[in-house]
Amino acid sequence: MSKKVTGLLPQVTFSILFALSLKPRHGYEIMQQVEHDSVGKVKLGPGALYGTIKQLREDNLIEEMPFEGNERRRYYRLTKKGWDTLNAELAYFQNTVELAQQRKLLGGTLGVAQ
Amino acid sequence: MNKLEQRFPRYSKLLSLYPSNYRQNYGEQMLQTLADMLDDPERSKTAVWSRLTLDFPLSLLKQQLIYTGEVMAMDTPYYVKRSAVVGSALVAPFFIFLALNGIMHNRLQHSWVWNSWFLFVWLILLPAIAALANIQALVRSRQAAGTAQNKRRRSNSSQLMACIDHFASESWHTGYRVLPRQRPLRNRQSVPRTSQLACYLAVHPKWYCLDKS
Repeated sequence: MSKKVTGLLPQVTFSILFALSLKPRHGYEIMQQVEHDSVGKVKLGPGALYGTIKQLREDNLIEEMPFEGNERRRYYRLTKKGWDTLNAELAYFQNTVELAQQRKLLGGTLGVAQ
Repeated sequence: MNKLEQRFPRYSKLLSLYPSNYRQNYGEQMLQTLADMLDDPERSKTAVWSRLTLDFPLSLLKQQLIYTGEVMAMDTPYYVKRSAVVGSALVAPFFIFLALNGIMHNRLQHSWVWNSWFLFVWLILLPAIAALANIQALVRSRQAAGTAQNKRRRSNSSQLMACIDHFASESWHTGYRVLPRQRPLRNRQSVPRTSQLACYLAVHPKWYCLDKS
């Protein structure tokens, strides 16, 4: 099933794509990087991690690298579609941050009466 | 049973509750990830197991729901879906009539629609046609299931040959080799698990034998 690249991915999906943007990683490395990038806010268990990996592979956003060494450590990397999706998502976030800056919402003033 | 299955016997048994294709693709990787989590000195073992307690049932439910949806979408033939829709459409007017009658405080019951001809059509004729359409689809799907089972058996046989072929080509890795007795080896198609292959060899000893190289 092919999906259009629109931005606004689920949090876990985005986190995994973002973690794989640096280099190909195996499951536990992805989990560690996701925790690091989200400052511990996104915590994955093996079930959630591989459930999302399965979905990403079916959507052709990531692919398994050729088998090397330990059979149980499979490395995953972004595909061309995965890079496009990640870029679309980051562009969306960048636009949102710019809008927030224009509206002076950043810097802890949100909700403070002027 | 490999080392990780020996290390986490309960978790590896729980993994068997996942759909088979998911388990085959990701089961061992999940075990390895759990081992990595527990071996990481920066992680508390209690935190790992408590995370797993929450993660396992949720992901199991999700994967089972996905699998059930896929099976229903793929395995339900078109004519069964069509019969279900036709049957529902045929009996729907009766239920719509009952609902309307209720809303209108039984006024329809005393109107021109409440005569023997309409009752015959709604209560007997249309439900009977709906039942016939679904019975026909049921019989047809039973026949198709028998044909599919035969096809699956032939496919399994073909996969078995491919597994043996692959194992033969990987004999340098395992220290064992498979010697063909009667049948020629075919093109490799899939990567087998060694334990599965041992079963295949036990079932088909007259075709192949396992020999220490």
